[in-house]
Amino acid sequence: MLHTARLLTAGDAHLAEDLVQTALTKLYVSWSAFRRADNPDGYVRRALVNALTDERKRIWRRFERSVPDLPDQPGGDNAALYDPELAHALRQLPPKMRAAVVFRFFHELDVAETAEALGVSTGTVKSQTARALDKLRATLHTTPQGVK
Amino acid sequence: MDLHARLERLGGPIDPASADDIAADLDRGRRAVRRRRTVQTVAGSAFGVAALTAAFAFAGTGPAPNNVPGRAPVVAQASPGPLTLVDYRGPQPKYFTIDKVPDGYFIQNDDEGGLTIAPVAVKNPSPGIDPSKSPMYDPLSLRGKIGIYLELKAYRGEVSGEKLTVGDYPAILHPIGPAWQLLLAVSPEVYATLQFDVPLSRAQILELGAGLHVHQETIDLMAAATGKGPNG
Repeated sequence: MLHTARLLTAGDAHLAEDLVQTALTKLYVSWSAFRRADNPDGYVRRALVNALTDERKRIWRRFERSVPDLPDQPGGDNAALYDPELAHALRQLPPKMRAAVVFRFFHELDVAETAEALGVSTGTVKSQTARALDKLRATLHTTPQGVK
Repeated sequence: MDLHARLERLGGPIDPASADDIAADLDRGRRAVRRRRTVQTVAGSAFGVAALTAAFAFAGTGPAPNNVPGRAPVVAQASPGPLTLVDYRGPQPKYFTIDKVPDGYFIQNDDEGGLTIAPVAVKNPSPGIDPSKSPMYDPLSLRGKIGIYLELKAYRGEVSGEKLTVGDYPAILHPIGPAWQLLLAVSPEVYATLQFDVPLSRAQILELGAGLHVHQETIDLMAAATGKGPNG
């Protein structure tokens, strides 16, 4: 779960921990619904995606702004350090588009399973995935192998 | 290296939590629950009165949205009472034109990220004020204020709420946490989002929204962030 959250947050280990905590809290509160779910794994993925999108809606959200210099990054457990180029590319994607990439190409879910996790139609998953790959290719400069 | 392998590496190793860490987490959680119960016991009745006051402030001049009965914004900051809207007479912001603001409010922040409209009480902070500890003085914090910014519709996905027409735009009004958001569809790709964490009535929210005009070049700039220009 934490591994998935790190990918959903484009390598932000601290935000990933927050997402997992939020998702686990929601699962605990809705435990009876979770136990009745036909697809518990899908339920967990949906909770993580909801936590990710809700993160943007917090009342204390601050406007993002460009700065000339990159801020200092925490060391040690910052997952983005493992592949900063990919982390940067993923950060350029909207959250649900990023989630589509993670579910399709890391968890290797099919389109229907990804649509369930994201709460969107299968058509949206296809279009979002295609646009995400275009953006990743543009950002990474070279075509990632296995992304055809 | 293929995308799967790079994602695997980006996720990094997961260090299992130690028994001590788990015990410390549980201890912190139990202390937080005790603290919360104590605060609720002491402040419960006062909070109830404040929440009811806020509910009346919102519902006073119009019906609540159909799909969210009984929901009302809770005023995050202490407020002397419901606000009134007045014509905005200050210099117009760079990317928007606004017709109305609450009486006693000013534009605290105006940049490519959007606008922050805040009470004049925080206009000239004394030198000792630390905005990180007093968010009302932080122009980028939206607590207790009105925030206006553009967003890609694709970023928001499906938004549920009351469907309206505000000014010339289709709009959606919905509660979000303790506040309300009015999303104006200013183009097929872009929302102008107005976020209200202040005690305005529904009618005032819509009036203020109708008085917001977003410059076309600003909309085009945001739409271009999709990787496609406004004309595809």
